[in-house]
Amino acid sequence: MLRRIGIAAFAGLGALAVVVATPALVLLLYSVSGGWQSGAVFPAELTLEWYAYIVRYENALPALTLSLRIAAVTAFVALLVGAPAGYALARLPVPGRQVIELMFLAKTATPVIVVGVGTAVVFLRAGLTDTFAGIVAAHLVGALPLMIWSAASAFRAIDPALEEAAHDAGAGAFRTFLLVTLPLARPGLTAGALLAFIYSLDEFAITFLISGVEYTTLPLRLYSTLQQGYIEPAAAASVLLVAPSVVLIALVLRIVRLTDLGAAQGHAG
Amino acid sequence: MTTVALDGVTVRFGETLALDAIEFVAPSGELTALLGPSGCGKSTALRAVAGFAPLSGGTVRFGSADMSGVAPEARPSAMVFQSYALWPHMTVAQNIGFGLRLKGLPAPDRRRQIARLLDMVGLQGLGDRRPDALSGGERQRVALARALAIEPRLLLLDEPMSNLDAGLRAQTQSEIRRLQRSLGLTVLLVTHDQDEALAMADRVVLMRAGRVVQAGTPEDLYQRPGSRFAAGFVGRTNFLPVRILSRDGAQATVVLFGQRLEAVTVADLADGATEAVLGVRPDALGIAAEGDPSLALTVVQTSYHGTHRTLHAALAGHPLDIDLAPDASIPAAPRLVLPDSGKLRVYAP
Repeated sequence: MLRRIGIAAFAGLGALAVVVATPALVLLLYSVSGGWQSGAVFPAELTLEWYAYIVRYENALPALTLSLRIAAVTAFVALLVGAPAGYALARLPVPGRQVIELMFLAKTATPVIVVGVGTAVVFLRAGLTDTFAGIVAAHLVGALPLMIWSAASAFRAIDPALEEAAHDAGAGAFRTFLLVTLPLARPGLTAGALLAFIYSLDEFAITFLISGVEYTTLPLRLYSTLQQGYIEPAAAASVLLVAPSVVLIALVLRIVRLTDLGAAQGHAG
Repeated sequence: MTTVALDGVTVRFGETLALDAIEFVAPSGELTALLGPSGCGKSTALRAVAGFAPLSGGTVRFGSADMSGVAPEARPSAMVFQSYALWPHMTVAQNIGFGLRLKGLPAPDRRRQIARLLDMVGLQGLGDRRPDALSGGERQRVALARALAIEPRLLLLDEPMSNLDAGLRAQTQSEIRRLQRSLGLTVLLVTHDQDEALAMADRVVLMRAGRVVQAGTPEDLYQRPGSRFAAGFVGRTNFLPVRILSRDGAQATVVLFGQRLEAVTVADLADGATEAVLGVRPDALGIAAEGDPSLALTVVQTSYHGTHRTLHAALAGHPLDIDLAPDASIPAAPRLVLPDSGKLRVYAP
């Protein structure tokens, strides 16, 4: 009986993997295809010219640099603000704690276009459109909840007795936090910062509405490549967009156990 | 070392009264056990001494110093947590040396101290291990060494043996006792295990529902329980209904199933009460082949315990345990043999 369930589960997961992986695989093949006959399983020729094309003619590299800089600043600010906020939610009697946590969910449940238009209107009045700080601020709207959730669950997972034991050994609040709480929460904080980084790197809709002239991030730059309607450059652009996130998510998986990430992802939607 | 005194200590958690104006003394250089069923407040009392439970009233004194408002890190006490609470990101040596590092002890001195402590708890050579690479018993010793490292005037143990298997528990009990005696430590031990409390403690403080029920030496508690609860919780006791014929202060004449018993000790009974229960230990009772028919026993079953055999019987429908010699033979129609009235105590029902 158990064996049959095992086989069924395995088959189900396999089917899911095929469904998820096939488009990605096809894209990957298109991005290096030098000519792909209809009906053939693999392209006849392999080439890197599409990557060269988007780097050379679509200005992908400066856009990538800008995206990485924005993502780094966003992740750093998210960590600075989100870690203390997460600690407060986990440990202190914050009034309306449940309401605050619900609001994070409400944010993810709101259509991104609504958030984007709202942000654009506010930014227009504040003079923040098409500025570095403006893009970081817009990205923080989505990145901060990820960071705060990760931080709160990391702090919540620490047995309070571990902190009490530090007090008992003579450590005050500051040294207890520095020598016990922070090291124990570090994997969760790192994962939160990486999630914030990935979020910023991939953010398209809001960035599209508030910038694009002076400051063009990689997703915005590659969007125009997609619009040209040729499959191969578009495929190369997609791979270029996804690759950093895949690497970073692999990094997050190494840092936190799958179960912890499951919780964080559940909230991130 | 130091005498710990709690006076009128009250701790509230929201609406719940966890400690209701308790008082007791843990004398200097002695091991005092806080004993009671779960939820009785014994762990909260320990946390009040350590400084982790905020007092709503009363005082905690170490010697003559009032500790009531003092932060845990400033109290000269050290605690061994029930979960041990070892820091998983530090090695055994770092765990033990944490308090010394905070005090600013130079590294070479620290290493010497850590080696001495590892030696003291029998963990030589394990200093570089992480806590998760240790067995439960080894973790417990690390927690003990970490507590002793800061040379506390008072050692607090919160159910330290509850995560150990039976064999290791007995060994650890005697080791803690040996350390306590050789270092002259004042120790406060929280336990729900009355065997452990009787075996280890100089004094036992029995608690129930946030109050101290009785405090005294293990002999006091076992020989002279002051309430039906104490008699039932510390050791085993049979309770049989009796009627009070007459009472003269702490002594009474009672009737048990038609038997008149003189000079029975009144442990806990309101003046003028006529209904009561008689408490008697299973090992104080005996059986005989003949005797008064009103004390005829119905045998339910027997169980063998190595040092004794327990006869589970009923007297007029009331269950009764009688501890006999392991090789005792049980007659066909046994009669109950009551001990001297000195071993009989009367409690409120």
